[in-house]
Amino acid sequence: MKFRIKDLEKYTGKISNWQKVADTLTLKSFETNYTDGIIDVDILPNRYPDASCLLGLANEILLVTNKPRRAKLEIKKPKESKEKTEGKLKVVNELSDEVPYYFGRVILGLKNQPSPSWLKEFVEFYGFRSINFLVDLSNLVMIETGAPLHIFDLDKINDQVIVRKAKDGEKFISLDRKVYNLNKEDIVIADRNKIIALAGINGSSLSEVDLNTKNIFIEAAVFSPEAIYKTSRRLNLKTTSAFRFERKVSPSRSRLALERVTYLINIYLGGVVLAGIIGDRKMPIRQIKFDFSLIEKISGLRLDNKLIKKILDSLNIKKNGNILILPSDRLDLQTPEDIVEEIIRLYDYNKIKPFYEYSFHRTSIEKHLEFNNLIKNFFLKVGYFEGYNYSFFNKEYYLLIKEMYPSAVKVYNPISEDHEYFQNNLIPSLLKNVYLNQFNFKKIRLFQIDKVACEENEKIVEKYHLGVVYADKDPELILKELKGILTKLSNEFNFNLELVKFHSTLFGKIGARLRGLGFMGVLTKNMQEKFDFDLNLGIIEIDLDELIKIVNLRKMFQPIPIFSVIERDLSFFVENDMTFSEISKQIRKLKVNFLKEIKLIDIYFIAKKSLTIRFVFYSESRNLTNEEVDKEIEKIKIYLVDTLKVELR
Amino acid sequence: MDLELELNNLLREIENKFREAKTLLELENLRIRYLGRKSYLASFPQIISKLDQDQKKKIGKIYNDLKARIEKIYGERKEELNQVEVNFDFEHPGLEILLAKEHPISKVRNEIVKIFSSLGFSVVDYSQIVSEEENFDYLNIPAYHPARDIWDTIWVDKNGKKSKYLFRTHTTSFQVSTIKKLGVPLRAVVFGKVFRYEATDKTHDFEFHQLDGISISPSTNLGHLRYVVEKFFESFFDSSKAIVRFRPGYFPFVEPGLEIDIGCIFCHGKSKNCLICKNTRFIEVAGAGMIHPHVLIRAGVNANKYRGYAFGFGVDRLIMLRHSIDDIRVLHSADLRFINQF
Repeated sequence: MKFRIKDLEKYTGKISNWQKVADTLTLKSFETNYTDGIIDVDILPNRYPDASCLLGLANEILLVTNKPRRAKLEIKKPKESKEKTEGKLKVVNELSDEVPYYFGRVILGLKNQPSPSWLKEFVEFYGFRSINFLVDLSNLVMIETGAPLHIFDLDKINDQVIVRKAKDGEKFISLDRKVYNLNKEDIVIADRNKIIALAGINGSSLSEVDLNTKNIFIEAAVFSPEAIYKTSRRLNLKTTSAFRFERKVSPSRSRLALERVTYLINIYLGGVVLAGIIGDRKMPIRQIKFDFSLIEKISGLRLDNKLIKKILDSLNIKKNGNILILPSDRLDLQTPEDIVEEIIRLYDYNKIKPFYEYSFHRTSIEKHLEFNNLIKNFFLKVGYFEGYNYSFFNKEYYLLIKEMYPSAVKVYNPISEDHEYFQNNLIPSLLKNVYLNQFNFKKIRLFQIDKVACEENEKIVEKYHLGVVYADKDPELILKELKGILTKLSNEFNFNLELVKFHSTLFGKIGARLRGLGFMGVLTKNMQEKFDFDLNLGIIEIDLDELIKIVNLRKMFQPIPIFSVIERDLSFFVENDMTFSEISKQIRKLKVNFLKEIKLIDIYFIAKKSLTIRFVFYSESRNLTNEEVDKEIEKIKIYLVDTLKVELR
Repeated sequence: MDLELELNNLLREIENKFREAKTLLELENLRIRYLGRKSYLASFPQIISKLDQDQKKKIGKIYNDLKARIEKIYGERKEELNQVEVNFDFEHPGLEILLAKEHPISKVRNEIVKIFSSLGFSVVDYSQIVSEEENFDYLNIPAYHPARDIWDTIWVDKNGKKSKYLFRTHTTSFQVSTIKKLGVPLRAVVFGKVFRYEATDKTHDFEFHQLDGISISPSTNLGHLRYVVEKFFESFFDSSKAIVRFRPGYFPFVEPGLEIDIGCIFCHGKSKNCLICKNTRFIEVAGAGMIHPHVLIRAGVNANKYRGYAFGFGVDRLIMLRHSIDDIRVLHSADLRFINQF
């Protein structure tokens, strides 16, 4: 909020160094900037009731600069006529809960006129259009006191003023002559047959004051912040007045504003002020029980009682034993903690010394985060870069991958059409990452670990997923590398990996389900074209919440062989439907001595399917001779050729 | 035979042999043969000693020169054979080595976790999709309160309507459930993505990262907060002393509420034209305060006995400050040309 220092100085007295004032305000109250006769103050939201006006801000400045003086508005009680306000205008407040204070005054026989230049300049600086003397004065007083006022042309009010709820479908015509449809949640000010104001938000052209206005009703009220907030948002009618009511208006300030504006109108525009203030009553005294030891408990500062007393005095907080009587306009002061805040900010926050507090418990790191780090390190070690992604994607991606990941969380108010779904898998983000990089790199290896979400039994479930992509020219190379990585991963984390062929739109036939964990595959040509890729893309997606359940992170020592290990490779052609696992199962049934392990080394296709299998021989008691091993290998060969009908190469 | 001629022939022979040697072992054998104690050359001093004075002087000199030359040839050949056969210019740049990199955000996440672990904080994880209560109501931000406007929210859809779930607008939403779950005393931090319905520009994104921390015990006070904040920023910016400044701030879930500034890490308060702190000497880095008693009570904590502080900061901005990254959208990219730099 911007204020002219010449306006503030009317209350604070002359100040020579406003830069210093701005710096002090920043440290003790609100972030403030000073330039060229204007200070821009970021009033904290809870301080709106008292500080968002000339009077309040001037007081804050006097307070933080340790001046004993307090800001005051010039008000003289008007010379009231004999005629009573209530006799002239009946006001009925039907909403004592939502409109706890509804003050009003009536002035008769005044002479409205265009605003003089000083007033015009004033209201324009503070963001208002100059309308006429009356309206501009009410805005001036709002800037002075923080309390919004509304002035009605009394002659346009039919008989009485009623504060009530609108009826569903009732129409309200604003000052800009726009028509709004109201409902029964909205508070309105009405007369016998029409709405004359939308409470706290905007007046109606049906009761507005103009240059012909002679008799007025001035309203100074406190409306429920919540009601104003709801109505103002629903109708998208955001006014300065609504903004203030949403942040609470102090009843004492409201009454003060009424008296101030009455005084000013009387001075400038004449008229007769009727006797008595509508809705006038005593303000309740706000008090709070305060335990003075709380200051040290919260701040660690030990302040002496004299100092505390001095600060409380400067705040106009009266101390009566352990009861504190609070100033009526400081609505933000509600709990003992609020009082502590006042005392230590005015003392000096930066006198709080750093102090080490011993640990309460052994610190722990969420198991999943540690696991994610292990996975991350694995992929860095095998040469994959860690990518990054936004968590939302569009409907097209959702539908494309739906056959693998059917359930997703939909966004009610997406940032754009591209962000309609919260990610339920990382594939779209991997695709985007490759697309971004393909113009600069010919081989792209990336992985990501991030949260995805889906709905399970009506509940939103979040999980960590791992996404891996390898983009290169040769799809066979891609698949071999990714499979190699998966195998290494399963060895390293000690879990069973099972791949089952899986046909999908994304991968066509070149895809597999990693049972219980996720998917892998190579993007079809169609998809490459659709997403504009020059390269082939191999993808792995794994549910880390599932993986963490089946891994075994504790490594058990395996004795290191004392005697030499002999390996023999056999390569042969087989029928396409013959699998390594079947061959290996059969060979294990043979009585082959010293055979410790059968490993599949390679599969490739040259007209027929060819396998290379490694046989590992070892004896725990001695070094084996080549002859011994040859004899055993011979057994295997005979079985392969005679029984399994393979063609040795 | 002329001794002089004989010596010269011998030199030529040895020189050829040495040059022909293919291995260090071969050369060593030749050395023993030609220069060893039992070699022909070794018998020469005896022969020379029997010559007359003039001859002795002349042949002796030839012998000494010859011996020195052979030893030199031997040394050179040995050096040659010792080398690996390769032609290499040390100006060659070397092969291009691929070093896989983690993303700076996850790198910093681990760094921050390490710092807070060392300060006695447990590291917890929390949902990104939370209920309206967790994100707002539990934290003294009721519905229809202007405080909610600070956090423009992205909501979860439920059959075309706004559901009661939302994408957390701040990591502070972890507070009540985490305190309930882990109990007090407690010291914990949470790190993660937060979401805002907001237009993006160089310094704003609709997804970004926050860290929130809490510490609750019967004796916790703002001095303890100050210690933790100072130590954190010292570690994070690798400086021996962080200048930390507290200012009044307002967050509905803390009381007192604070804004935390640190002394400008670029100009250290010395520049007249610092673009980072705009000559204010300080950079706003965090919000903090003492946890509001109502929040503690909602988490089932006896607010008369326990007090706690809370703090939260935007991690992206800290990374950007530390590494002079001027656009948050670059930080939030997977451009390998970016990731490769860290």
